[in-house]
Amino acid sequence: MNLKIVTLQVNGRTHQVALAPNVTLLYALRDLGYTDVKNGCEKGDCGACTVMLGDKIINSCLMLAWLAEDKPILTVAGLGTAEHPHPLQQAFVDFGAAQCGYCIPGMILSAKGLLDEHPQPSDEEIREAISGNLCRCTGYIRAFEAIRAAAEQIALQGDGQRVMHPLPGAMEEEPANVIPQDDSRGVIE
Amino acid sequence: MREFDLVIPKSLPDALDALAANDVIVQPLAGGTDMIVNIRARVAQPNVLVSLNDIAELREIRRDNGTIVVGGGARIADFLKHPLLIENAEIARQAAFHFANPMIRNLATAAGNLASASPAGDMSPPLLALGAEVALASKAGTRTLPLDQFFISVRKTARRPDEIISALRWQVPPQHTGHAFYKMGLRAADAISVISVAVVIERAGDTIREARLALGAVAPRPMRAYQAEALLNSQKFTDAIVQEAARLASEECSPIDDLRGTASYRRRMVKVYVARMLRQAWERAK
Amino acid sequence: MSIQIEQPNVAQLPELRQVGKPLPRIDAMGKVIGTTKYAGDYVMPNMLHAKVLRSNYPSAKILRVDVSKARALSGVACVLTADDLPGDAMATDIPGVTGTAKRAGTDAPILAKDRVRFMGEAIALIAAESLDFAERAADLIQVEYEPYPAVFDPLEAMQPGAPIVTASAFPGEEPDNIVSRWRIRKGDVEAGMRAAEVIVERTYRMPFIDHAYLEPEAGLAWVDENDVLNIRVSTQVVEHFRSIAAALKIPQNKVHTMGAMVGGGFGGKEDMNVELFLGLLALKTRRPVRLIYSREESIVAHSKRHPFIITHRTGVTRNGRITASIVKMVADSGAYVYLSPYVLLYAVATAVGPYRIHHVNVDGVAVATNNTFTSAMRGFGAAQSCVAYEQHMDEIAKELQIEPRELRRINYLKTGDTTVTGQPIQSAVWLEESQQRAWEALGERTPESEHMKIGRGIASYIQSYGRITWFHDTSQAWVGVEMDGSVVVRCGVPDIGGGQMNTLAQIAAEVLGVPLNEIAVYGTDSALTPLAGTTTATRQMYMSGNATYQAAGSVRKTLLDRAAQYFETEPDELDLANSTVFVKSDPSQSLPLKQLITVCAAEGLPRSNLSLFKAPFTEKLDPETGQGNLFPDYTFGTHAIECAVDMETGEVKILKSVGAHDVGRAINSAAVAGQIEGGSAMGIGYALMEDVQIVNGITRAATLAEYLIPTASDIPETRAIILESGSGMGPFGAKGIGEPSLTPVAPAIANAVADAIGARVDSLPLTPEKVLAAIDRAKL
Repeated sequence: MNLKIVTLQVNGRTHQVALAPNVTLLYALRDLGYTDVKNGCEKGDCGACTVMLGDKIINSCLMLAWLAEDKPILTVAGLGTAEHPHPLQQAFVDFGAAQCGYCIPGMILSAKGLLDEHPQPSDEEIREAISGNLCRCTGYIRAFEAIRAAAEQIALQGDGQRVMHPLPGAMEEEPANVIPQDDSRGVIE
Repeated sequence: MREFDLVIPKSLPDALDALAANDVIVQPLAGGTDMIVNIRARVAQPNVLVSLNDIAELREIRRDNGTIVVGGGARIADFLKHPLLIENAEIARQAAFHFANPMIRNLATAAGNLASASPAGDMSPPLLALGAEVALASKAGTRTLPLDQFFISVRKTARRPDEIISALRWQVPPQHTGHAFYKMGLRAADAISVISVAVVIERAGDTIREARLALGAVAPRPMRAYQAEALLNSQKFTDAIVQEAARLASEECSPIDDLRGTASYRRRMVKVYVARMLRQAWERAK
Repeated sequence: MSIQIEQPNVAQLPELRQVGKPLPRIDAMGKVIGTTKYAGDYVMPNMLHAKVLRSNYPSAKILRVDVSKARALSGVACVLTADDLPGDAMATDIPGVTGTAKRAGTDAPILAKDRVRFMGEAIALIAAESLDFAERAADLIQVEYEPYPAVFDPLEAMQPGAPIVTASAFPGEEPDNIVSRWRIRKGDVEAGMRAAEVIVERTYRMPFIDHAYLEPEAGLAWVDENDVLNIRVSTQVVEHFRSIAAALKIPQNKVHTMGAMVGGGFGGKEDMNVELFLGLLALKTRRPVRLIYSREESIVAHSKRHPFIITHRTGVTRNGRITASIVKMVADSGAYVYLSPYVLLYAVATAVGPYRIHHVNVDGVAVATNNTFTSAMRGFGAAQSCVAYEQHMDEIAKELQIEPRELRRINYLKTGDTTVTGQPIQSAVWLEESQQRAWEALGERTPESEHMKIGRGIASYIQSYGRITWFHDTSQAWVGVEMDGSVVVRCGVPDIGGGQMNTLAQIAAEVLGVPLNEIAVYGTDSALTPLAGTTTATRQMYMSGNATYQAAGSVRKTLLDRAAQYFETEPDELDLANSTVFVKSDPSQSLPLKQLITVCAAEGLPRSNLSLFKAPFTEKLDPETGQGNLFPDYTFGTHAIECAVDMETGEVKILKSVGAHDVGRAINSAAVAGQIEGGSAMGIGYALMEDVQIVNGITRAATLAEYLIPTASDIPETRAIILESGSGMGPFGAKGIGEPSLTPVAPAIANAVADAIGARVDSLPLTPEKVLAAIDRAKL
């Protein structure tokens, strides 16, 4: 097998790694410890392996690692930290946009790809932007809200700053009881 | 994944040299969104892949007098973002918007999508409807084929193994041209088409100067609906002629049953959507 | 049983500081910054990579498996076939469930020996130095098959002379393909039918469904220095360590299973998946071994949601009172039993839905075929039964020309009623409220346009939370306060994304009066955390939530008792909040929790508690009548849908989706709404696009390009309406919502589509082609 020393620049770090030509960027990144890049289908159907290559979001499962040489690669772990989350990351936390979380790294990067190009996206553009990131848990609703809120936040303050969102009370949690009717009484011994 | 070698030429001549090797299976690698999947699924079994990724000249998008020239390495996303394409390939822009998903659009190339020659390939009907040609380059030189002659059958094209699509070309659509594209999938995004319909109409007053209709996923290859076109050209735009053209188109296609739909349903949808797209394109041609 | 009914109102629910709030989950940050680890993210030094060789045939004899070339390949550490196994089967047919005795021959082999019964059945295991080596080795294994008669249609499989899939039989009986039967006999259906003025009979069908969690099955196993087999695995059930021990013939205390954050479960990671394969390879090689399924492998190898064929024959009076109901259900069990008997039971026990019907006969049968095996999936049979009974309610309404909502209101169960199995319902039944709220939330009707008809539909449901009560379910949790005032919860709960661990944290935070971020939850470990039972059956909030509530309550009592001495008052006069104990009547009299805990430690007072929560324990249902208590309690709610249908193409677009559910009490309202929103999306997939398409035993939709689940672009305007009766059996009066949130969605969509087009498609999914065919039929 024809191994080559490939230089990969990931989240600002430089790695040199011997790779065969048939290794996809997904496997190369995961083997380097970037396990935030998820494998969900290995054929571009699910978006869990999304990374930014240069300024473009791509499916890392469809890119051979040799072809990613010397281009900056960003994974969600490079976007922010617990102390300094990216506004998108903070918004996903605040809106409860993650359930199992497996799709979230890819979805956040897709959202970043969107906001980089369209800082003030329409609802339709938000949906379209994450339409390649399948999620089975959440129904996407909270991701929409989070992305919209993050866009506003970035517009106001730029990214890279920690901002706390108000709790998403506007999201139709209706904790109040309904007014009881005849037959609908509650508590039982 | 199966083993193969990968060469990454920086120039078109180097790529063509690499493709000319005939002792092993050599295949060009464009965006890879089909090829990598096919290798993994063992549908494609190349010994050597020649990446077109780093060849700057293939990324060119330019206007050459009345012709739009799109390099073989241009991405689907370019159809959504490049001013020249937004202006001169409205129907391809519409198709690109429904092409897979944003990540794939950043990798996949239009030429690669054509070269894969899936009957359901998303870019084929709009480029057929634009009357596009493909330039096929090899060490022996470059030949040009109308796109319609490029497709042969399911996943078969006129491309020889030593050739790549170096460019796509089409005439700048004249004024008063309307474009309409519809892709029917089984969900709202990122779906393989059940059928797709692309219509480009050039209008002169209340007369159809020229109509080009292309259909996807209803024949072994993406197809032009020539009988329907012939009926429409130089005729007044009426409800009756739209209905008749839609009927002809649904008869001249040859769909099959598969897991996304039956042949008879597809035929019927061709009829519905050809009529709808004709009307839409006509409206837009004003 | 005495039931005291009280008027519920807001004031009666105690004021809570943290429970009920949409607090950001403790597990959220790790997920968004990418530090959360899933089972497939773990590696170990010297680790081998595993691969499973699977059957290419749905039904065949295996004449020969030649692994010699694969074993000889360099880079290959180990190749195992059925001949190498210590035991050869794992039990999937639980005695006493399918009958009084275990049916012979129904266990699933770990590796197929003489026969394969579905396409994708495991035949050989490989462990190699790299995945590439493992794949090459798989290519070198030669399997000689001889096709064997097969049956793919459950109705055919029930006929005499059908090929026998697993030779299942009770002792002394002829083998057949019947895997399980359940029946309900309540009242006198003949009399009920005689009392009817109209009889409506329809049949409804549902397809195979894949869970399509984003994380395919994954695990890592190693044998440690104490000879313990450790398995880190993506699972809903760490208690599988016992079955693993039994299958591998090793002691139960030498198997240690631990989970990780599960990248989606939905029932698909309830049965074992990679555990036994990893265990065998690790025991054989004595090296760490990792196995991760590809997506394609996941789809062919793991269980599917049962397709059902359900026929309702219902007697009803002209004014809409249902007098009798006869329901027949046939479920495709696939090649092996797994959880089919229980899934069928859930379907049978909910066959007539949340309606008060005095005369009911239900007969359900699960049948073996050579299709992929079927087992648990969110809703667990009760979702399938709802698809049928709620469509049927609309069909009856249409027949009677009564408003479908009115027909439901006439027949709904009410608070204080009993279920169709005769079980008194312990909690509030807020069906009317949920219907009213869901319907109102649809708002103004979207105007129709050319070709485009608008339809609206609703569906209500009854769905249990907590396991079948004759399982005698328990959960344990340990809660302790550390010296710095931080709190530890230890509970073996697997978190599959629903916020199972955060729920426990929020409960402990409420009881102990500490901020949520001061709580650490340690879970999903069969050896190191108290066993909490499965994350299935919508039971963790109820079971482990109660265990945590009890344990935290015990610690709270210790703290308040000691603090009462300090403040020279009664414990009742004190409260805990913001990590401080204080006198309720004079909050300026306070003591930081950290100081209080120091005092407790110095005096040797217990700062922790291990608590066991027991669900109600009952006997089995009467086998002849299906009468008896079955579940701890039930959740009720209604989903409403507005859709647009293109009358020329059959394309359906969901415009509005509203779920209104009485969750008793929301522990975390954002998480509850998230369940409802996610259930809505999954239901849209079930209704409109999902179908594994197993044709002649072969899976046609084997990737996520063919097996379509909803994308962000498929999601309509969605509302989650949370109703709180405070009457549930969970902590603070909560009811489970994980499964129920899905259950009514697909039938509500089917009803909306039928409303739009004036005709019904009798099988899911409602593809444009089927919808158009129904439109055509309606025009005839």
